[in-house]
Amino acid sequence: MSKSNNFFLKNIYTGRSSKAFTYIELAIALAIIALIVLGFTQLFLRSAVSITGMRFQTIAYNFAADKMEEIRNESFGGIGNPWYPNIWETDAQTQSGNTFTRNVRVSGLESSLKRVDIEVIWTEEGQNRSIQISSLVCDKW
Amino acid sequence: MVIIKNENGVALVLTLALLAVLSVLAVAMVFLGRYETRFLVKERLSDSALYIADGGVEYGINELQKDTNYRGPTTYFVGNAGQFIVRVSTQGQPANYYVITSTGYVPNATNPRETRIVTSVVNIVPGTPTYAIGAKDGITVASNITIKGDLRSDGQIALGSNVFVEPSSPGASDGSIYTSTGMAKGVYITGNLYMQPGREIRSRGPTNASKGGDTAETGIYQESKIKSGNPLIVEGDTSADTNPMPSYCSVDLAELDDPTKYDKVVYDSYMNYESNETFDLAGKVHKFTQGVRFSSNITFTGAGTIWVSGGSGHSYGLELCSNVFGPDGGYASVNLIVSGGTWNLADIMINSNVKINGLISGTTQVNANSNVAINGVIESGGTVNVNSNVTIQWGQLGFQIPITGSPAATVVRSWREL
Repeated sequence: MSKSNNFFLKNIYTGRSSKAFTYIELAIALAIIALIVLGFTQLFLRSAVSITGMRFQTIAYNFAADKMEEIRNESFGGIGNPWYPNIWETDAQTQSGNTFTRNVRVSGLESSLKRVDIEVIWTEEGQNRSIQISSLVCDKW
Repeated sequence: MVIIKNENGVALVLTLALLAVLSVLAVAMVFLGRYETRFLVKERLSDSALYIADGGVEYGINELQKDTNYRGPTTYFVGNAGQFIVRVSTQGQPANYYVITSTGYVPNATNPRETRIVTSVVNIVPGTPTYAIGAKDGITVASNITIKGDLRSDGQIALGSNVFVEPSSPGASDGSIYTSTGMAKGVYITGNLYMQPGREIRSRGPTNASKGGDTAETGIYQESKIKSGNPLIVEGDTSADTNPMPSYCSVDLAELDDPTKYDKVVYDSYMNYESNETFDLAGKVHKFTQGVRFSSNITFTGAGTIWVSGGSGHSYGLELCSNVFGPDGGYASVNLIVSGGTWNLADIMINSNVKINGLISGTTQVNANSNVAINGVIESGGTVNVNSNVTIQWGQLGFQIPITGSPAATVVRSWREL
């Protein structure tokens, strides 16, 4: 290693006021670390909240998609009460410590065509969240 | 080499270096988390768009079931969830096959966040008449005949001996006999009729009660010769079962003639195909405007329709001589239709040793001779005469043609995402 490479260390650790400099250095280091840790804590917290939110959303979406597949496999006549677009069916499941409520609405567009809306609602951070998927189903001969 | 013996400050440097590495890792983790979050949001929206697109396919099927001329494009909002645009094409498809292409957008087509495209090939299968044999003026069935399906006529149905009338398939043409004629002997049972339990024979002819039993004056004659099945016998029937037939030709000829729907080959002179020939039906309608005769030992390949629309001066408008089969001696997937012309003996003559999967439809008279096997339907605006050793089984047609009334089935042949 060349001499020039040791310049920084020499200047820091061989100076006359090396003891005082160590305290300052310590304080600055602590402050920097505190700022960094604080910043990262915020990031981690936000990230954790976001990941939890996404996990809930994935659960909710799968819950809705299961129902949509179930409806698609049903006979056309067995799907909902087509002429009253209110909640046709509602149920709930608890997963990851949260309760997901699923509402199925069926609207009759024509005698042989229905719209299916599936909404899943849950509570997160004290606020109501929801997702919805929609599709059409026709009466095939 | 310079050896540094003073290690003061090394801890700080190492700590800062470690901190830097950890910081990089932490930032990477946070960004990874954010990326995954964004990816999941995108995936959810994309899945929603797929359901919307699939809804478009359902919309297209519904429209095609109402009108097979539907081609779109139709833009449709599925509530607030999304929007689809659906189109229908028939390019490169056989008759009655439709390609439905649907694009699903979330939240809308103008500013989509996610787009998914699906395409589905759908077969709108035309219906099949409900009877195995249907004729306006009457049906004559000789001995040793098996019919799997209904017999229906507005005239007399005369059955020879050893006739088996059986169901075709559950819920389909079930093996009953109906005539709307009010004449005596509307159903004439010569001897040994075998039926299945739960079937029926209905005639509008005079009842037993008014005529004092099974006499020559009653609507169904010689019921005692029914050997099995114990069918329900109804004379003087007034139910819808014995309503006159709505049409004696089930084929929508105008649609069959539409070149945008069916590939057609027109023959403008009387055609006589020699023996030992192979006729490639090639998925087309072969329209003979002056009649056609197929000699013996003809093999039909592919599937299609032979249609005679007119002509005169010959014994038959459409004649199949002996030994007419499909490939390898199997059933020929062909419909035989005579819709016009004046013929000396009959519209259609199917001679011996013939196997056909299709609809046989004539305007005046249709004859099926010995050793004939038909998987489909025979109908006539006049009479149908079925000779000995003939088997007729009601069933789907080997080549789909437009049948008046509601289509029988919608079959989704394929579904894929583009």
